[in-house]
Amino acid sequence: MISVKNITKHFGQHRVLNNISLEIKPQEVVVIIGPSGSGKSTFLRCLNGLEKVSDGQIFVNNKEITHSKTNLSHVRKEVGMVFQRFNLFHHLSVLENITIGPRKVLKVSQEEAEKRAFALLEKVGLSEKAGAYPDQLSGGQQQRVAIARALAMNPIVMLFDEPTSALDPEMVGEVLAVMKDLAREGMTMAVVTHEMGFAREVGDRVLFMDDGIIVEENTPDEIFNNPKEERTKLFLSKIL
Amino acid sequence: MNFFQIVSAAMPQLLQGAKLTVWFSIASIILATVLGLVFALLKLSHSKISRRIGEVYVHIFRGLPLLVEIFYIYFAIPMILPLHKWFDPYFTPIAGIIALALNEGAYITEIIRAGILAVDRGQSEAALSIGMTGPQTMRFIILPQAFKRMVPPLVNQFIQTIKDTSLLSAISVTELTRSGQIIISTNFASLQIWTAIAVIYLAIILLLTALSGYLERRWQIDKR
Repeated sequence: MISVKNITKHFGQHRVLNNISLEIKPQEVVVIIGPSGSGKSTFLRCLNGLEKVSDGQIFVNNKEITHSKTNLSHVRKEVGMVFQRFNLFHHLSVLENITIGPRKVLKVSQEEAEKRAFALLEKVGLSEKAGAYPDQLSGGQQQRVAIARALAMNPIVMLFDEPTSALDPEMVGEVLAVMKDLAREGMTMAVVTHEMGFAREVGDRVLFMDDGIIVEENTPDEIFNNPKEERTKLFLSKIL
Repeated sequence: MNFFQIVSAAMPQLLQGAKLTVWFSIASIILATVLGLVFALLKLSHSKISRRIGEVYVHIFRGLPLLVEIFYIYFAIPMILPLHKWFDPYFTPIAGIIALALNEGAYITEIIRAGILAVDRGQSEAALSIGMTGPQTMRFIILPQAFKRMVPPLVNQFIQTIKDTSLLSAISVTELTRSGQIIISTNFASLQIWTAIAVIYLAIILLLTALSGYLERRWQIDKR
């Protein structure tokens, strides 16, 4: 589904990603953990071309997105992304936030788009908020709308960039619940998170990143109970 | 004749001038906004040449006194390009509107550019992430949010434009100020006529201020 080959990313002199390779298979849930500044968010943002890699190749559904001739908006239609800060469109209602992508990008009729939006709102438990504006919602509600907005494009893979880090603790659960449902339905997911409980429960594979490289990758069980690398042990000892 | 008799005798001519002032204001505000949007987008473009074009435009038209720009377009350019013949009998209003629009457009360029830059980067990232193209992101996501923030500074600039139309009296456009001058040259009632002119200008600007207040309130629905 996603194939990453030897990517490197520099910000000026600073090397953020150092020769990373990764395969994500269909229906797999890959959880990326690591200290802040380890490059995990940058890595995720490379997967839909929001960040340009300095070197290496990324293939999404066999299309090379790192090729300069690739039309990125075509690729991004199929790759959903959920942001730490939600990034809902403030000037649009919840319903319009969800329908604008299908209408303007996929050219779906308004009627069709709204029908699907209501189904998605029901899925994330916010049917009654269709007419509200983002700033009238709590953080957890906003993030669930953001997930619905991404799903409205019928993506083949979903990227989550610390989706619960900006939330008050009592709202983390409602967002994780939606993500767990998605994983159960077979959505392919790459999730950058500090929620170790989620990683353990839902992840098929956990990557531990530090200093721009993947230090260790394994099943959640192995990573959390039996980490091999010193850096992994050190990190886990600090957060668990 | 007392104050009111003088003013009411002059009123039809003054209102005729006020009408021109309003039309010149509307035409140059519309044109200036279009210019401002185009040059703001150029200045924010990825292409270095586009950015440079935007910078040069703002530098020239914000850097010169409006009166000099008006004279340049009205008197200087026709020396090399016979625009006044091509556009005869409309050259004076056209030159006036273009001079005003080019000048105000330079300020509006900066207002629009600042408004666009003030929209959080996450908004365009989110739009791009659902597959929108750059122009779609600008049109459906960035500009609507930027525009709301731009209303107060834009209204400021529009008020400036209305007042600046008085400079067109220098190329004998008979807008409000010029009509007043003509009346005074026959009745010498400076105090009465200039007072009437001042009140009319204030009334026009009050109308615009009220309209913008209404728009601002209407667009507050989503609190941003």
